[in-house]
Amino acid sequence: MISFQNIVKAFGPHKVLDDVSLTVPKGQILFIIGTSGAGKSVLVKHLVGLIRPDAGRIYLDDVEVTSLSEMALYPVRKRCAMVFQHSTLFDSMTLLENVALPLRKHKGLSTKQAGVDAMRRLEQVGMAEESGQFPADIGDGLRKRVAIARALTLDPEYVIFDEPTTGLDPMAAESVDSLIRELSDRFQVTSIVVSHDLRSIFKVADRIAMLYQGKVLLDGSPADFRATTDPVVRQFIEGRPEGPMVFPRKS
Amino acid sequence: MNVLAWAGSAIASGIRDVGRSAISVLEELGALTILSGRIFRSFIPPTLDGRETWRAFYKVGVKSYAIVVMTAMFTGAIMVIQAGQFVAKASATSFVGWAAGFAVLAEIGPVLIGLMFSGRVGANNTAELGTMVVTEQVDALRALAIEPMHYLVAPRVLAMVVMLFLLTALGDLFALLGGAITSELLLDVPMRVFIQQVVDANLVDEYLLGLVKGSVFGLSIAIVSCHFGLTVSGGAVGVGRAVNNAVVVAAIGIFVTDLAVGLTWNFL
Repeated sequence: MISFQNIVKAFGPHKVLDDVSLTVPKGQILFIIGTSGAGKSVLVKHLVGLIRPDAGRIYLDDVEVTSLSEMALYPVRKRCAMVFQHSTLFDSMTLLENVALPLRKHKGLSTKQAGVDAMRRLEQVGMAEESGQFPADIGDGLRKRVAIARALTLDPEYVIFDEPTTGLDPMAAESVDSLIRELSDRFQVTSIVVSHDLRSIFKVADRIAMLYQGKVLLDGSPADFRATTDPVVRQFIEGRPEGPMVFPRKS
Repeated sequence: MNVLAWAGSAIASGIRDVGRSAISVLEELGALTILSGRIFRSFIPPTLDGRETWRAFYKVGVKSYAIVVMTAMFTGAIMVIQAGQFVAKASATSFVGWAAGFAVLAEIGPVLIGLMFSGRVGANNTAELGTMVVTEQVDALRALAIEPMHYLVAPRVLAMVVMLFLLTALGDLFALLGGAITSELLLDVPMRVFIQQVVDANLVDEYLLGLVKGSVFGLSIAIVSCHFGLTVSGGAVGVGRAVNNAVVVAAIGIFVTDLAVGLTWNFL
C-alpha cells in the first residue's frame, strides 16, 4: 500500500502541494489528473525520493520513505519503478543496453545474459528490431515503450507512470493502457498514473484523484467523476477552456 | 553634499558587489570540496561499472591523444624558437636542448596539455553530465537504484587522472621531438645533438614533476567539470553557462595547482 500523508511542497514562494493526502491499496490503479503545473509529477517523484517534501510523510507498505537517506532509498526504488514523462533513456547506450542496465546492476547477470533477457523484454513491447539503435534515432512513442520495458526489468511491485500515453499514437496508447491493466490484474502491481489522457483515464483507472491548486479536489471512482457536479472537475473532464478553473500560471 | 552622498552610495554598492562575489566564490569552493569528498568516498569500496569505465577511458584517452600530440609538438617547437634567440646571441647553442627540455618537461608541456585537455575533455564532460541532468537522465539512474556518483562520476574522474598522466608522458616526448625538429630546421642544431643535450641534462626530475602535475591537473579538471555538470539548471542555456564556467574555473585550477605542486616539489 502507498500512503501520502499531508504532503506539503513549495518551490520558492510557490506552494505546489498543500496538505495532500492519498492512499493507494495493493493492486489498484490510481490516476492522478490535473492541469499542467498542478503538481502531479512533483507528487509522484516524492514516492521514490527524487524530491523531498517540506512537510508530511509517505509510506510504502511499512517503510516511511520520507525519512530514508539516498542510499537507503535504493531498495525502495527496486520495488517501485518509475517511467518518466520524457522517457529519459540514456543517450550513450543502445536501446538494448538501456534495458540491460538494471539487469546487470541488480540481478547479477553478465552482459551477455542481461542482453538476452533485455531482448526478450524488448520483444514484449514490440521493439526487438530496433534494439541496436540509439534513443536519438527513434521517435517519442517508441522511446516510451523502451522506457516502460526498462522500468519493468526488476519486476517491481509498484510502478509510477508519468504521462505514459502523451505523444503516442492511438494504437500505441491503447497497448500501454492494456499493459497497465494487465500488470494490475495478473501480477497485482500497484500503479500510479499521471495523465491528461481522458480516454485512458476512464478506461483503465480504478480510482482517480484530481489535484487543483495544491490540494486533492476530488478523489473517487471513474463513476464518481462522471457524476460530479463540481464545476472545476467538470470543466477539466469535458476539456472546456472556459469555466471557473484558475490555471497555475494565472494564480 | 550630493556628490558625497553619490560617492558614499557608489562605495557601498562596490563593497556589496565584492562581498557577493566573495560569497559566491566561497560557495563554489565549498561545493567543490563536498563533491571531492563524495567522489573519494565512491571509490571505497571500488565498485566501478566496467562498461562505463571502459567508455570513459576510451573517450578521454584514445580520442584525445592526437590533439595532445599536436599541441605538444608545437609547444616544443615554440620553446626552441624562444630559447634559440638567446642561445644564438650568446653562441651557446649547446644549451638549447637543456633550455627547451627543462621548460617543456617541468612547466610548459603539462600546463598547455592540461589546458587543451580541459577545453576538450572537461568541457565535453560538463556538457554531457549537464545534459543528462536537464533531461532527467541522472534522476532516471537514481530511480533505477543506480548511484550516479559510482556509475557516472567515479569512472570519469579515474579516466581523467590516469589518462592525463599518460597523455602528459606521451606529450612530453612529442614536445621534445617537435623541439628537435625545429632546432635542426631553424638553429642548425642536428636532431641527434639536440636529443643528446636533453639526455645529458638529466631531466628525469623535471619529467617526473611534469607527470605529477598532469595527474593533479586531471583530478582538478575532473572535479570541476563534474561539479558544473551535475549542478546545471535552466535547460540548454544552463548547460552552455556551465560549460563556460567549467572551462574558466578549470584553467584557474590548473594554474593554482601548478603553483602548489611546484612549491611542494621544491620543498620536498
